[in-house]
Amino acid sequence: MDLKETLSGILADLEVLTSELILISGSVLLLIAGLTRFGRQTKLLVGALVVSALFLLDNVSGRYFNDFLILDPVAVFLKYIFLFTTAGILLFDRKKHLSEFYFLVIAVLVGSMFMVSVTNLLLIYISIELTSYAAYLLTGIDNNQKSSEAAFKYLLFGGVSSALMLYGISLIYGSTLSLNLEELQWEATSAGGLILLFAGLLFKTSVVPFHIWTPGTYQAAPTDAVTYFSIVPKLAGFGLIYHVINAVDPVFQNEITILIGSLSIITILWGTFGAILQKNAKRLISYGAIAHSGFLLPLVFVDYGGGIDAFGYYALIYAVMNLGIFYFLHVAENELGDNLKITDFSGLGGQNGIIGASVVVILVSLIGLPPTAGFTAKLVMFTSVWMEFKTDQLMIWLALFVMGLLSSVVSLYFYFRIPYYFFLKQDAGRKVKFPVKNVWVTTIFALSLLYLFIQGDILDNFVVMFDPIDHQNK
Amino acid sequence: MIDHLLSLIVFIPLLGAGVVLFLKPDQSAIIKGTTLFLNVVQLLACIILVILFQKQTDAASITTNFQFVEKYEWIRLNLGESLRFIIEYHIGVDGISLPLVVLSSFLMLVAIISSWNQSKQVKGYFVLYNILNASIVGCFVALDFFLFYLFFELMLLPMFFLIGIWGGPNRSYASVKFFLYTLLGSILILIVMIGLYLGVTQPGSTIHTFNIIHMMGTENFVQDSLLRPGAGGTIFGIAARYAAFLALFVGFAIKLPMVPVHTWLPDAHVEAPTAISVILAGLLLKVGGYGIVRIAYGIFPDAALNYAYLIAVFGVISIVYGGLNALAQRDLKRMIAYSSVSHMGFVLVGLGALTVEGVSGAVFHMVSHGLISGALFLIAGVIYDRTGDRLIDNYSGLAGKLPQYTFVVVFMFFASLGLPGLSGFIGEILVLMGAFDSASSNGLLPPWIGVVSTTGIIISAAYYLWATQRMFFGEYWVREASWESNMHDISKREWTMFIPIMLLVLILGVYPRFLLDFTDNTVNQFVNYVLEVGANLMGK
Repeated sequence: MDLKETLSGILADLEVLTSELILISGSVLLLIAGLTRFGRQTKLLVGALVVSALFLLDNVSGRYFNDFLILDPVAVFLKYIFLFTTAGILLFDRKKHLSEFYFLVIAVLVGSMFMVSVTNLLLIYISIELTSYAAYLLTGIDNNQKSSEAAFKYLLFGGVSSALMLYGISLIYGSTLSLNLEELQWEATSAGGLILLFAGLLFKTSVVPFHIWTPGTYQAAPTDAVTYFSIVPKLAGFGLIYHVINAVDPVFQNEITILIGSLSIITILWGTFGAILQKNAKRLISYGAIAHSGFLLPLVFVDYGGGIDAFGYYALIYAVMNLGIFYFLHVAENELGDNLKITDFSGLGGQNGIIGASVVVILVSLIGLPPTAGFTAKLVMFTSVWMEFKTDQLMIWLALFVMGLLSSVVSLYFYFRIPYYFFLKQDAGRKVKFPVKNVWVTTIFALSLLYLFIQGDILDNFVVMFDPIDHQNK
Repeated sequence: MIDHLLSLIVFIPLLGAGVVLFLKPDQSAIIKGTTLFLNVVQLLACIILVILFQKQTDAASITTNFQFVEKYEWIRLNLGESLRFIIEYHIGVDGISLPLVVLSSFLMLVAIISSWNQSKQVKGYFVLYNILNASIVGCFVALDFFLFYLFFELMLLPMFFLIGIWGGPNRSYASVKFFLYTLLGSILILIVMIGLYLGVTQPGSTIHTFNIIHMMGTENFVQDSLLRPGAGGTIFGIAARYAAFLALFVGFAIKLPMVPVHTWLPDAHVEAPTAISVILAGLLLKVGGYGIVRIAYGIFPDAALNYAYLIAVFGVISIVYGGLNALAQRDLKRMIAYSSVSHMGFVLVGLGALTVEGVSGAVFHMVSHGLISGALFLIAGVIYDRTGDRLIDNYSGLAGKLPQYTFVVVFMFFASLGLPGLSGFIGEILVLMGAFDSASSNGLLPPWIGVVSTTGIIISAAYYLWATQRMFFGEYWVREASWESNMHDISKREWTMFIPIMLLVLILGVYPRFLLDFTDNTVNQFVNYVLEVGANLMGK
């Protein structure tokens, strides 16, 4: 292949990256606009960017750039979720650092969009680092002591995990002389390298024991940034894990199964039981988000037909739920002050019935009870796990099934402490009334969760029958 | 209109919730009026349902016996090869569910009258109230497991807030405990639901279904399902079908409630406002009993036969333990709450006996106990409204001061302890006949079950008569002088709640065929189905 052919091939393949390219160039414009009087219209500009990226996003599958970029329906679906979440972030009121904030958000977005479509080790590393650096900066963007501290901690943990990952990559490359996971031959060194690589991926998805950064960062970082962290890079991490697992030769299938299953169980239990002790509202929800990681993790792994579809279904509903609950926390922070304790909600129910009821719906969905979409998501998730148990008869799946279901009871206990204080505790003599606009937005999130339950099959059309790319026989 | 009569009964309260939601919080008269009006309409629809219900059908089996069936496809998911299922809006009634539907509409109406003086956050109260109404009725008519589970869970939320916001001093503790306990039960039910729908397909296709009637047909199970009869799989060392049955049973037994998983009940009852106690005791407990009949027994008849003895033993334990606890209570409402535990034990004994008398008795007793326990909580509410106190020791000789009230109390106490001529007697005697008969007819229960159950009647006579003696007879005396001025007899509003209940209790006691005519056909088929199919499956 001569140079000319290669170049024209690359130019032709650029077409599938139109969305990403638009976002990158737009983000530079955003920074420039921040310096001029257009800075006030930042949100408009971001909105336009996201909408154009949505329209330019092609539903294509295939291999591009000499197998450096691998697109499949799972990747495309996740990209849609990322873009919608970005649009959702625009609903949050942000007063300071507008252009910088959204510039970094778009950096996370682009990094995540790459994460879900690469299997080359170097590209994996670069795309993860792109999201990570932007995320460190986002955590500290409000530039007060707490958020700087959280950003620094996040950076330290993140640095260690990416060092581990890099070490793993070098082990894999050293033993196989290949950066392409699909060509990997299993042996002791490469297996060890792969485990280290996983450490980096699990860090992004806050799976126990790589979750340590999560509560602190979620608590101190600006709420709109937290919303973003809890959805976009996390789901991107799961997308990447999915592709990595499928790309490598399934020699150690059973060992990996048991590892993934146990990590899921530990994550669910750690998240739910950790949440019980929390007094800070954002910390509480962040532990809940850790538990949700435990529900998402097995879905990228169960290898019978429906597993990855279930992941798509769960991921979308997870995104809506997290947008909803963090939006509410954001509104509550505006009204009640930062460092929101659960007791701060005492007795607000009397004057704020509608927003309270909406929050109840969102929380019920997070617990996974009907009549909300969270229930359908959990139902689909548990069904996949049960099917997996029936297929390979490994007790770890049954344990996950039972533990996951029983943890719902515990999660009811901690999630419902918010409505408990909101409605059941007496008024502390305060007069707090949430602004009508915020009430409406929260209500829309709640109603969409109800709607997605009643019209459960509407998601069927979104979760296009995922036809994953076959990594083994290319 | 008639085709959708059942849907109408379920959705009228939801309409009410919607209307109330858009009224202003200070329009409390309109809010109450709307709710009352719609509930009356619902009850009228129920009466039409009763009139049009065919008592004798020529249906060959329990699975084809449903009337007023409505069936529409609701959700169809197509996720991957195994995640293909449809959820149907599928409702219908038979002789077992019909009385419970009517009972719930009736008791909800009584409870509205009871909460007529509610002045705290009226709007929220009645929105939740209407949702609760719809979900209870929905539970009794659902023939799709998913739909049933939806209504079953939907009940918890309004209940949580109704106890937690409008309840007594210790309400938050009670509401959280109630919620956690029942959620634990419904998780157990959910586990089985997932296993079942994955094991059952629509006849002639590979699409999974939640249809309860399909789940009752053993031929609809897929070949590799753990829960298929004769599949021989085990879960934690127990045969899979037996394990699933036990999970369902415990799930519903928490709701029933059965000793030893009853401990949420006294707290929830005592703290709940009067109207909500009425609904809790009168209806929510029946959902547990109904779930055991329709779902646990219906889908796993083999396991039902296998565990009949165990179920009856737990029934006996509930009867005796609940009764002895009631004897020890000082709080009137707590005593009534424990008497509920004791009386629901009879339902378990009746179901364990699996004779026509036993199961008829269980269904009859559920209806009769719904009426009686509702009235008993109203009674506790009457005295609490006047003095704010329910301790039995704080009153004496009320008979002279409040003769009408005393009459109602004695009437309902006697109904509950099983005085012949009132409905409680019929239910208990049928259950006991069933229990004694079981040894000779199907050999499921030994005679001692019936013997020990009978002591429950004696214990209940003891606590009711003792309470009556302490509170109503002797010299008139109340603890606080300030209560004196409030000691007026039953008001007109209160009479309107008591009279219909007392009439029904009397009618059912004197002429039990009034109810049994509706249940007979279905109960016969049900008992035959469980005994035959169950024995077949066990033989496999």
